[in-house]
Amino acid sequence: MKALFNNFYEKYHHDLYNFVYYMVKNKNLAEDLVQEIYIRIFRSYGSFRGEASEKTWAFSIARNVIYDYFRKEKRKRNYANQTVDWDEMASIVTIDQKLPDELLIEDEDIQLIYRLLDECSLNQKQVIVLRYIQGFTLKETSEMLDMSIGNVKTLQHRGINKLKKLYEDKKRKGGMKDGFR
Amino acid sequence: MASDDREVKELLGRLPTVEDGLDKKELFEQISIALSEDEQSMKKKKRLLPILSVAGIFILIFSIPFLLNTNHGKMSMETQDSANDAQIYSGAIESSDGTNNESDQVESMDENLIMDNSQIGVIKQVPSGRKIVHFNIFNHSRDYVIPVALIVPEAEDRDYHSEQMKEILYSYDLLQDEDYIQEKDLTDQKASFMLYKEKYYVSLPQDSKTIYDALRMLQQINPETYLENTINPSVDFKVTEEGELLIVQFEIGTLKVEDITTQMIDSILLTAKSYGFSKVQFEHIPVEEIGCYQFNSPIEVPVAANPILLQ
Repeated sequence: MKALFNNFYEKYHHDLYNFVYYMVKNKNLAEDLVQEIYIRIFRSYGSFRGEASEKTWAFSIARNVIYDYFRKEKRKRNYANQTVDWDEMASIVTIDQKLPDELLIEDEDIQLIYRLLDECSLNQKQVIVLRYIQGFTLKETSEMLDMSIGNVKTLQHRGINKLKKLYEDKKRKGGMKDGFR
Repeated sequence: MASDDREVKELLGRLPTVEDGLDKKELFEQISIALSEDEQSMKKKKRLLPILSVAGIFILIFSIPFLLNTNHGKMSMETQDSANDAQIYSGAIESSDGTNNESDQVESMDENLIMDNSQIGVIKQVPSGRKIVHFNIFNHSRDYVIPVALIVPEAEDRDYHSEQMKEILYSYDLLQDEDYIQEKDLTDQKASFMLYKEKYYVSLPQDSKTIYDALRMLQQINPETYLENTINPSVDFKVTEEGELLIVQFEIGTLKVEDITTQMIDSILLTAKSYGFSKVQFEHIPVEEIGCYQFNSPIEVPVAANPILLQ
């Protein structure tokens, strides 16, 4: 098992962690979810037949772990009689987020775009994170998300348009000084 | 506008790589502990095997709708590179055979459910031994409808207005109010099919309009609603009707490769079907195929949108 762990860790840990981090924007939570990803990888590695690449497979598990997390959060909200739309979930779980150290030294525009990411739907956000923050190609993204390239293009187009509009609005109103923070 | 896109993309690209606080060795130990606890609890669970098997079957029944949605999605959208999908989905199905432990079984089905929830689709043909029961879910102002094609065994005659049916629709976030559900086949009523919450096709009745107007409607952006256009507004096209064949000819240069999505093709086909066309020929489209749609010959319209398989 250690050899398997080393293999996944060396090859994919960095990408997996950053993907999870930008989806949930909470370091502690991202670490917990990454641990859960490894657990699921080990549990089901016996059924992995190598028809997909290891990377595709690992990311499909990561995606499921993230979605499970959001769904559990949604259930909790629903249980408390709070009606919440699925697309709002990304912003709900990150309300009390703190900026990671890496972002504290960056300029305000980057911080603004970082905050605005939460306004995208989960599907848009995962495409934006993989394509533009992590730099994966359309083909890699479509494989990792188990989507057609057409779906990825649509989500990326809509996500970028949404970010662009919100970014322009915020800039017009004075960036993050309007209570956005 | 293009420069604004670039600015946003450039800012995204400048977001930093975040380093985790996990020590590799510690992480491995935590995972090992969790897996060993897992094994212990599975031994205890063996005593509950019969009960859990029933529960597993129950979950399978409720998960199959999602599986179909995906499988259908593969049918209509992706013919190539299905190995990945087969690996993911067949894994889940095999685990329900009872050879693996129950928690894995439940988990695998759960994973399928999530993935499927993010997909939309159409059904191209009714599987043998099955029939479609059509449900329509209206929004409060009744200006659009989400059609749902429930695929049931042919011999099935139970009352689909049951609470169970409503629960399934609730689980899809499709049904908010039982007063807004109707069992009726509306697939031959003229309508434009747009996207709803990026997940489902939604039908907007277009009784008085021509097929051309109905397709133009697919380009409209509705920022106030969850409805989304499926054809880029900058795309220009004309239509020609030849009996049951509809020819959609795009103006050369207005339809770009990045505009072409399976959702665009699905929605055009569904709209054409509602106007009585059986096939659609796409002309001046700058790709040879997308998903399983090949544009070198007329494409048959699908049977219905938003299919759900019920056992």
